[in-house]
Amino acid sequence: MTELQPLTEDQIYHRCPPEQLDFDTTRALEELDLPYGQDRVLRALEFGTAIQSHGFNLFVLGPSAAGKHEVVRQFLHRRAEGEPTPPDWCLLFNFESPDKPRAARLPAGQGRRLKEDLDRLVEELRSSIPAAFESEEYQSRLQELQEEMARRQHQGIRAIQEEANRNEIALITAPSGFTFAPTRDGDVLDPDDFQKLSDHERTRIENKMQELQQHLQQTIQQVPRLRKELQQKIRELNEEMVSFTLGGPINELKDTWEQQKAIVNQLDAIREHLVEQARFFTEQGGSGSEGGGGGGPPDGLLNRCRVNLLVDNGNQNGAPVIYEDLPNHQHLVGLIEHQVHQGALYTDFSMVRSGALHRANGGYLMLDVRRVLLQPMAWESLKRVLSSGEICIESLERLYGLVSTVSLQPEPIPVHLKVVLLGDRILYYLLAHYDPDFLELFKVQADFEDEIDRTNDGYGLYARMVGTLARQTRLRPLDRGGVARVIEHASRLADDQKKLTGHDRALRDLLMEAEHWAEQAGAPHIGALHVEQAIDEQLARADRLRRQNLEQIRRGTVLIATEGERTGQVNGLSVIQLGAYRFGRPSRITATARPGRGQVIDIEREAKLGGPIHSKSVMILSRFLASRYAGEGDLSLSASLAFEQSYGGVEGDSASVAETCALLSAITRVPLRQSLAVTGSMNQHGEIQAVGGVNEKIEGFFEVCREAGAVNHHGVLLPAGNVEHLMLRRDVREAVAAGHFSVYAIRSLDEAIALLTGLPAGAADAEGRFPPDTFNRRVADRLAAFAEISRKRNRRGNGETEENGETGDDGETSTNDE
Amino acid sequence: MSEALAPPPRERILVLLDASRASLAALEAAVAHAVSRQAELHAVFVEDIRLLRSAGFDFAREVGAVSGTSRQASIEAIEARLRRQIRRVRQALEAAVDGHRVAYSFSVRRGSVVQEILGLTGPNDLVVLGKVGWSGTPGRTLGSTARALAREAPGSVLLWDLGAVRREGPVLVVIDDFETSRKALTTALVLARQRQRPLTLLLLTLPEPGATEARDHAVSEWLEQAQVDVRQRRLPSLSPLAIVRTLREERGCELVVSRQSRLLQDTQAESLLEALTLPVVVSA
Repeated sequence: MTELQPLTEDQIYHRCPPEQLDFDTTRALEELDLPYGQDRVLRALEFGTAIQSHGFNLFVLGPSAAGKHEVVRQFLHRRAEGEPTPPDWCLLFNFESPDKPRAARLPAGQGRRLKEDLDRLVEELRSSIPAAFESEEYQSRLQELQEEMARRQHQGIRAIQEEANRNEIALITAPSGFTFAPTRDGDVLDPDDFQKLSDHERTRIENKMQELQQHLQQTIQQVPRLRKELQQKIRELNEEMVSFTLGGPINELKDTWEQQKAIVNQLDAIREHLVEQARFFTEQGGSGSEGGGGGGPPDGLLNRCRVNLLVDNGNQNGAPVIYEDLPNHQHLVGLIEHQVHQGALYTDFSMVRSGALHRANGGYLMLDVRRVLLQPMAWESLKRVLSSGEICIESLERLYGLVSTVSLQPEPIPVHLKVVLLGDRILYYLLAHYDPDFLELFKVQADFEDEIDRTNDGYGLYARMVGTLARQTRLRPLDRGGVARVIEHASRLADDQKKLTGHDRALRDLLMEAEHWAEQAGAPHIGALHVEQAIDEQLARADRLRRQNLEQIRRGTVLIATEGERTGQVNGLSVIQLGAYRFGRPSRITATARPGRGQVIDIEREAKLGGPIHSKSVMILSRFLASRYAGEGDLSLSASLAFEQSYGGVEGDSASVAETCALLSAITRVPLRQSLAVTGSMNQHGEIQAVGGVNEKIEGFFEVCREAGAVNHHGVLLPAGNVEHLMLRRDVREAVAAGHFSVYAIRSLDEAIALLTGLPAGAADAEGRFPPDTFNRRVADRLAAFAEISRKRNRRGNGETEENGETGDDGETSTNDE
Repeated sequence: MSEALAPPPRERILVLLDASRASLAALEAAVAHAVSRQAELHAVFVEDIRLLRSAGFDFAREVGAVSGTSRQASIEAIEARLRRQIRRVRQALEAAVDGHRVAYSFSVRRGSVVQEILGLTGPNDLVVLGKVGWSGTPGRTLGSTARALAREAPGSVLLWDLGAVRREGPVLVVIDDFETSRKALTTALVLARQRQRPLTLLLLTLPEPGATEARDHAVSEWLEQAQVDVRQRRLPSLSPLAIVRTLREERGCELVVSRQSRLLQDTQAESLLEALTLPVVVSA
């Protein structure tokens, strides 16, 4: 078996040679219209926005830092520019059903004109109608009517009075009515004197008085009819005045808006309504409940003539692209506001407000799906609009049935738009799984790439993308070195030599920070040094815990050995993630072994600190041991594994190689080199499988070694499958180049054993026997010895059981084992 | 001090109250006059003897002014009603004078309303009463008492109109021949000064040859002597309708007219008073 060679500097870092980039600075580069490497998303957007069938709304899924918003916004704006501008929408007062305002559609920009026209009409009426009612003509005619009526009313009474006078009878008025009394010489007769009159005379007077009373009753009972007649005539006069005043302005508007039938009808309705309500324009009516506030036309009445411009596309060029930042129910479908009026909630059609769906109608509405889902009823309201194809403005309180205040039901507005949801993948999958409507309404998924292929041909495009980012964020241009360093960092962010990160935000942040350092340095361009400084500063700002960790190791609070050899002990590597920052750190993994019943105790699991994947990996290594070394016999082993000084829990299988090595060392008592650390997972056949976070793990161990003294002949063993993921930082690369630090790519456990013990691992022959003086032979022999001890113990134990009735292990064997 | 500006003799404001809305409104005006003229206010309530007698007949019935229904009338009921009215009138009077430095008195009399008032008032008194009392319903705009007092009272009578009382606008005065209108002119001038309103003269065209010119000359002299600036307008005819229209155009706050004026001597005087919708002072 040939000795495994460490990886070279080129293998642990994929450089981007600046000479690959054929420009001086990004200023020379043409701006990139479409994002690089997101072809699938763009095709999906193209398809989703072009298809007109029902339910083909879009869900753009991808991680939050992928720059989805910017890409989608740019795409939609570009597409919307070439599309027709949608119409304006207005709400008009419904004179037939005031609680159901009418919706009217007008060509873009016409809504504003209509609003101005009707506002002007109202202002005109506000002055012209009072002027008509104050005119001499109106006042004279009104006076004449009233006088005529008063005369007619009084005439009847006077006729009776005159007839009474002729018959020497007085008509006397009192607060509650009239009485008749006989008179002589103008004075009312005393009742005693009346009795002195002849019977004939008394009878005559009484009959006459009875007759007069009947006449009077008839006359008085006619008064309501006369009053009604007067009111009718006054109403006709008022209507005549209003009709005359309205005629000119309304006809003028009808001529202007003759192409819009709905508006012409509304103008007719306005005229009819105002004429009907003419009584409110008079001084007495104006101060009534219509809220005129004194004389003159009541505001409430005139405001009905106005228009509520819900959607004004007058300044819109092409289709609208709306992003609703706070997509709650009201902001989506609009709301009906209320005012407190005399202690009660009051609303009318002018207090209806449009929502984002109205404004995006005929175009595109972008929504952050997480925010929609967080708002009560917002998701259901959105789906209802998309299902029904129309927007009904309804208050949340009403939907929930919480209030019984009289409200409005504006006429639904037909809607034709594309909703583009943006969100994490998990939300897409959860919605698809749990919401039966979701896939019906959002049929197009646009899945963002997390990573972009890194090829020599793609450097140019990636550089243009970096240049575009810089330009959009108003940064100074990058030189070739700066771009090359950004590309290399993008690979590191992707954890892959052959990939570049697709996360827009991380790159944008890096560029902005590099800009800051370039500015500090007074450099005209952002160069590699500035990018490097930005990266270092980013790490430095976030590495409090890493530093603390290193200090604990240096001071011996956390025990990590980086020199010498130890039995049953190996340096494993783990990664700690804190927000967007992660770092690697070594962990001491220890193992004990003694004869037993084929058990490998995972102490982490027993203490409930190990996760299921870790438990699985320990079970795999247990089975690996049994199948490899015990053959057809029993695995008489009682072993334990622990992550020392680990208090926060262990998860993942990336330590399974290290655990196996520690366990085999414990079994064979062959010490392991502590200058090496191990990462990698292992299957039941002892093959090494790739793991995550290798860069951080290697760098973490490198730092620990450096803190412990000098880095010399230290190294890390990692799965060969991870070599392509290596993008190690400069100081590690330099140590590798100098031969002070080695990175070994291992494919099998035997390779790890050979490196850690210095012994050949040894391959089994056809009968499963390992060659003498190999590590594996030692393992097999030691396990055989364990089996023998166990057999003896079992025999003895069985005898004791017969005598004492007890079973189980005792301490003696373990003493032997020690 | 000129003759025109000489203070009028000490007068008394006599207000006739019957608890109707019009009379209570007239009470407010009477208090205002009493305060501004520093005159004594005397309120009178007259229990109409005719009403009391009418209830004494077995067959007496009362016809409701609004409902038109007929019901039995009784003296007891009428007496009780009169007591209630007196109570209300007294309360209204006390409320009206409250806060004003005015000497006042209140008396209740029983008899014919017009005769009782005529018996109480003298030439220097101003009688204030509503243009209509309880007879204001329905559709009547000039009550019999107002009509009689306007014609027969020895002093001035203010007929208070419940309708469109205007606080703005000029005091209007109708001028016939100068001597007839002299008292009215003085009264109007005093009123205008008290109320800080302008004065407008409404000049009738006199039928006698040269009379109009002579009257105009006398008026001019009087105005010059009084050093007042007034607006003058000619009344086109004696037709009540034309006069009412002119008065409406002038938008006056109060009208002063002499009892001897042709307007009130005319056969249509009552129609004119009925048609006017502003307070009218019929001066002696």
